[in-house]
Amino acid sequence: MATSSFDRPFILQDDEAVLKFLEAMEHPAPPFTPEEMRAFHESVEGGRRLLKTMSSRSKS
Amino acid sequence: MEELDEADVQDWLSSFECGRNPDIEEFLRRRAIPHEKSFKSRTYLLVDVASMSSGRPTILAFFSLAIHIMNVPDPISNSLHKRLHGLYFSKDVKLRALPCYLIGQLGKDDRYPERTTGDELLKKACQTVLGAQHAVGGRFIKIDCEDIPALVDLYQRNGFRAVQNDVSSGLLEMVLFF
Repeated sequence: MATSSFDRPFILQDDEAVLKFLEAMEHPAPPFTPEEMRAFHESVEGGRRLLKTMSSRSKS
Repeated sequence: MEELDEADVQDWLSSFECGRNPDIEEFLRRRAIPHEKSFKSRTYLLVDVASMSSGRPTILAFFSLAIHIMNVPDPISNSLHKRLHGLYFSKDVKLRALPCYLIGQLGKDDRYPERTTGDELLKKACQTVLGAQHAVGGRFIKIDCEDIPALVDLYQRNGFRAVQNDVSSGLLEMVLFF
């Protein structure tokens, strides 16, 4: 990856690229289970609470 | 970040070290805050919880996410166009672009390589995107990858598929569908 990725357009260059894109689209393989999703959301909430605690400490 | 002083946050982010990839280090040190302020991307930090009480937690790793677009080439064969459209294919509607998400940066601090794996970091980035996807839609994630076997393997075993090499950057463009 690169910082330039934020600005560079993503354009499928030819039919071969379109075919590879379609292959990925028609056979999705996300790397997580529902249980992992729940654990992740709980950790996000924990992080928010910690950030709030840090903020209140820096103000006091 | 909204509730912390920007100069302090900038100083904190500057503690991140990634000598293996200067672009990653430079991004967190110099670009992450401007990107936040201009709504260009959102940066997520993985920190050492044990160091939270110091008021300046150790940054173990980070990733940055953005909204992106894939442009559909023109011309494209009718059969491929139909497959891209999926259920909503119409001969009268020309598909020009598809919205997606971008993992623009993702990296670990050189000093704490054992604290998290690339797989764990990538999974957290994908899960974060999934949260946005539940709220507003979008079907896939794009990532640009240096064409290095270990990196390509990391992304492939986490569901990403190579689509093409970008001529201008030399990066391998990969996608992950939900």
